Amino acid sequence: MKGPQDSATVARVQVSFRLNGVSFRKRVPVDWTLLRYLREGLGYYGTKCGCEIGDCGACTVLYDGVALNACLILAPQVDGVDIWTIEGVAPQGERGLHPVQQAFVERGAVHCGFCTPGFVMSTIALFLETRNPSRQEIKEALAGNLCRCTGYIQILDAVKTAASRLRDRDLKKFVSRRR
Amino acid sequence: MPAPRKKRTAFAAIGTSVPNVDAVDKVTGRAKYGADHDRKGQLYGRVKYSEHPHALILSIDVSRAVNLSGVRAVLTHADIPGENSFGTAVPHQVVLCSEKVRYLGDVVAIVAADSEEIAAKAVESITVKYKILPVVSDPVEALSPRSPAVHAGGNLCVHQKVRKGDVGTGFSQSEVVLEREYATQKVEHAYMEPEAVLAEPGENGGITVTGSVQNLYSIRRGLARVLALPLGRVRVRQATLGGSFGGKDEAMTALCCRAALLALKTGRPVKMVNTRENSMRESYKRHPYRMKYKVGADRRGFLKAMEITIHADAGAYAAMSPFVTWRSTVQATGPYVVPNVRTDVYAAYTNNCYTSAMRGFGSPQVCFGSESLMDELAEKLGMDPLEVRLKNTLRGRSTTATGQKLNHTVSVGEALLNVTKKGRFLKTRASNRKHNERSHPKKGVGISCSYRGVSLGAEGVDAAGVTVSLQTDGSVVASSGLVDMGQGAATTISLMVAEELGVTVDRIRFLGADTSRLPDSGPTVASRTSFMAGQAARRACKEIVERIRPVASEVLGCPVDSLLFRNNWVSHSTERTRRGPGSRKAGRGRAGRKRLRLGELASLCFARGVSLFAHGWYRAPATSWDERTGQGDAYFTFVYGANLAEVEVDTETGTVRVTRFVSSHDVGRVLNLNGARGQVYGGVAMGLGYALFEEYAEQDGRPSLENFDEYLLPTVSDVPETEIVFIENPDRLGPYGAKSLGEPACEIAAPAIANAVCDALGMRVRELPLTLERVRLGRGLSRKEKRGSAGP
Amino acid sequence: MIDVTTYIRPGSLEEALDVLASGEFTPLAGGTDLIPHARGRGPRKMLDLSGLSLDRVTRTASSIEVGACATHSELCRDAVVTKALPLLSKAAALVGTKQVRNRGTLGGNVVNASPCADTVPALLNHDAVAVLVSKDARRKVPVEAFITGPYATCIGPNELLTSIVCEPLEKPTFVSFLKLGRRQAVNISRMSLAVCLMMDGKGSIKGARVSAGAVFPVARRMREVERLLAGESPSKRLFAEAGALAAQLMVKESGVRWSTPYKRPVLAALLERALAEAASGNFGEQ
Repeated sequence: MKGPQDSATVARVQVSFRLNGVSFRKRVPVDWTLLRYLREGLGYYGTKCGCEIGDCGACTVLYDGVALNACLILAPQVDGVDIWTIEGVAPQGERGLHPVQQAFVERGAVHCGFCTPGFVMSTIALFLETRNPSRQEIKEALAGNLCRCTGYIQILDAVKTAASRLRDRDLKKFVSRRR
Repeated sequence: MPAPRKKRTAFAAIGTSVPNVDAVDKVTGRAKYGADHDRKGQLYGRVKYSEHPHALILSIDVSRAVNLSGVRAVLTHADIPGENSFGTAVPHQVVLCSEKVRYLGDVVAIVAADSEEIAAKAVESITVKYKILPVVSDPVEALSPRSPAVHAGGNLCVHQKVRKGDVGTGFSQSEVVLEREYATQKVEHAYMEPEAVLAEPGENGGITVTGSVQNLYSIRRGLARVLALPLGRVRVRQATLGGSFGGKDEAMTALCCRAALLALKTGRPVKMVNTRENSMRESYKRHPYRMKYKVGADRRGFLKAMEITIHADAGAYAAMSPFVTWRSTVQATGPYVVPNVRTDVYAAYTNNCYTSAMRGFGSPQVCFGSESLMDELAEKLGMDPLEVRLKNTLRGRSTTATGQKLNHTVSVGEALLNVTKKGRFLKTRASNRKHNERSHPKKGVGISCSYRGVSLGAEGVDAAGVTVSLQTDGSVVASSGLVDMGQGAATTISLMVAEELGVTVDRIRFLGADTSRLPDSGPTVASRTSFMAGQAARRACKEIVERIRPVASEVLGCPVDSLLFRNNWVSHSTERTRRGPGSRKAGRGRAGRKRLRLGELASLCFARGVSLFAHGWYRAPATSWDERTGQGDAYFTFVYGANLAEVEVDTETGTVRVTRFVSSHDVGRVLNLNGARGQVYGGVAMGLGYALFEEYAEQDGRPSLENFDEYLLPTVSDVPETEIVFIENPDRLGPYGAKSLGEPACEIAAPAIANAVCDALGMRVRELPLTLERVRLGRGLSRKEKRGSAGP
Repeated sequence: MIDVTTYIRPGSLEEALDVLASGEFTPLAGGTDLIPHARGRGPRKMLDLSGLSLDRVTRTASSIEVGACATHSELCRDAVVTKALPLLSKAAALVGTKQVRNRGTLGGNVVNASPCADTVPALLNHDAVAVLVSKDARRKVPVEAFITGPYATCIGPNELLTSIVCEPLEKPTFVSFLKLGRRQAVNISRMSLAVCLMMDGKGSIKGARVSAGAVFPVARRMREVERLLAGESPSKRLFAEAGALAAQLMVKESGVRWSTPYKRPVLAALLERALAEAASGNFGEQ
């Protein structure tokens, strides 16, 4: 417990969390959102800022295994949490794209790309819930991610393609140890 | 959807389906957008917005802001070294207001500080004294002599006209005359990425601006003008662009200038990133139109005359209004043969958020007008909507409303037949009628079609450049003055380079645009990029090939004209050409050389001092325009398309669900199937939002929403299954026959949906968007009930 | 930018109530309403409830207690809630986006007290009672009384909403929940209706519960409509009468507003539809 005595007057709070499989111990500003902290505090720019009110989904991250908007979380709230961002999905880049990323690339689901990291994270979160989502389940999982370029059709194609290729080990690391 | 497949054509790369060349960077989070650029020691810039839609500035007091700890600069109009305004059409758009504010997105002062928080505090501490002026928010009222004047010269921004034949005669020959009023709303581009720029003072006393910009060169001109710097010292670089749709064009000059002013003043990098709220408040929108249509036809359904009067709300500044409204005049009649036409489009200044370019550029509004009108005319004539359209559509050698004789394959009829065949239009219509008699929700089906001029047309100078640099390993670096903003230009241009040089797309690196590297290629607008940059790229490639061919001919011992460049190899054309990378070994093992790798050839050329770099420049064919009559060859070529929408309408609540969509477009030639499909799907979704949800509502110059909680974009659950039928009538002018697609795909989606909804309702709604209220009641409701419902 | 100066995450309810006793702190649950609010001049001192284990669902003999920090996703998933409080899980499933349902909580939805809050009409039909705890006291307030106006409740600055106690419905009860929005998904409710029809053995309506959101300044039960329905046999005419009565009530209570020409007929039609849907028993029969 961070009691009123030790934190009521300071603008930073000590937290421990895991980010993309790596443990961090940091003092984070209490008036920053997780989104801002990822980008400005840690230099993880892959998580995008589109509306800051939880309506566009560009900042979607995996948070203890579920999709959340990083703009709606205060940085100090991450204590003890397991977080995955787009940077952790395929750290080796081109040679080792995750099947979800690969499908997005192949199916033409990436246009301007600003919404793409959020869509990828929402898609992975969906697969953590169900490996064979119905069209309706896909839509429910992705309705919180806005895209202005693609009209979503190629994104739906990509999710279906990814579902058909997914193996257990593609999801293993994202499974939160807390759940 | 069928899996992407390679089509059988004479081409190696063109017409294939390739992933976007920048997709891997984007899908891994590596792509750097405007807001992802940070510099050590950077400051954070913030603007002080106007507090009133219309007011005189009496005084600006920045003294408290200046004294705040951590504030590095506070600037007002007095600190601008050059001109305090910019604008290609009318150079009156203000960077920092001095005498008056004209809308709520006007800026009176800017601050640079060590943190965003300090900058925000400083902005709050600036006090501006105003004398409030009466607000004009209605474009028709704005043109009355009693209206408050937004600009000194009066509120008429532009009057565009078309005069063809004599409408009086036309109407007297008509047996059916209809008069209708239609209205469209103001909408926001809603690119997912809010505007962001980083300005860095340069070593040479100049400035480098990196950010989310669509049209680098016009911004550079604006920066040079405002900062009083020579163009050569102003460098604008495009960061990966998170969508634009026309929304980050010249007007980004304002944000770039503000960041640059602060950077030059402080000598430090200054970053300015808009929140979504700022973006909504300040950035321009799509013009709302109020349209009066009068149409005359004979009893057989042939059009005799059309008289069209349109009032567009330009908002506080001209921006691209003169060009946007000009395109409207050309397209206002729809793709029909109309012997007598009289069109007047007035754009008026108001104290609303200003309006300018947005995907479609003056066409989505008139497409809604003309396509609603055709349905109403069909009903009046007792015909079906397809019949009345097919009777009147433009054909080869037809003359357009602006007097242009079409000398290419005109395929609007073909597109209409495609969508109505695939959508079983007449059958569906008939079975819907039966269904609607007894069942709920009601079903409807609607169609729409359009013709659209390619590129800028008589709007202005139309030319573009591309550089291609063949590397000594056979890879290629290409860059273009026209930019990728998510629409896939980098991929399309790469495909054309691949085709011409015989390299595979993965060997091409396409660089982001940078004004210091490339010549001014005009704006990336008007669906002109594939066409213009494509032709320029081909020229550059051909130049390189011309230079390296003699060397290849010498090495391979075959005539120059029998050389074949394909799959990163150069060979004698009688050799079998279908050799992939796998056959490399075989090639190397031969004694007499019949083929060589392009990389080898490039190395040989380099060793002999042959230039491997070329700049291709393409100037569009001539167009002509007589401003007095609105007649001329408006565009050098046109594209044609048709859409079909099926909907279910809950008539008790007004809820609309689009259940199916069919889209057919003549693109000349499909360059990248993946990309072409994406343009159509995206265009349909944007049109769906325009038809059903989106409206940037303002009351007396004050917006009633500021973010995506209330500005509703279509979600994945709202978009229908969409079928696409591409028509390929190669254009003699286009690269490989290609024309354009980005905007055509968007402009007729909303009218098809609206026609389908009205079909289901058995009632015409003449205003967009088709909100719950309009669909349920046939009229819109607004909190003040001020804006009257158009039509009877 | 978020205007927060202080953040505390207590590990026990006692500690939390001690902090709240100062009256200066705002409880932070999912934050899906609170954090956007904090971007302006919102609350500055945040008391994070995530360490208090207030997300449990407990079933007792006569009632079901839902922890205030249960997320909407949990309400959709939880076996007890989906079975015994079907209106609540259906309402929770229609809240915002997946991301927001994963984070936003039942307690937050109730305390925020938006007139269009999705879970409130469902809770009213389940006779829900808010459990409010402070350092020195504990009280129970029916949710209907708890919400006092648009975005206003009777919660004290030192009080915490810890749980909401719901009554399961007697059998057989037929229910339906309808939400009207502009899009196919992710909507701020234009109107929501929760309906329960308790049936007797002979096919008549023994009793009814009907609640509406985004119709009145505060979501509420429409007891006038419930009385009309009680003792009658389900029929199209009865349901149409009920719809008409609801529309009358709305105009009487909310006055004629800009949206009335739309909402009046639509409320009537939608309630008729909700009643018919419930009576047909195709949703959530228990």
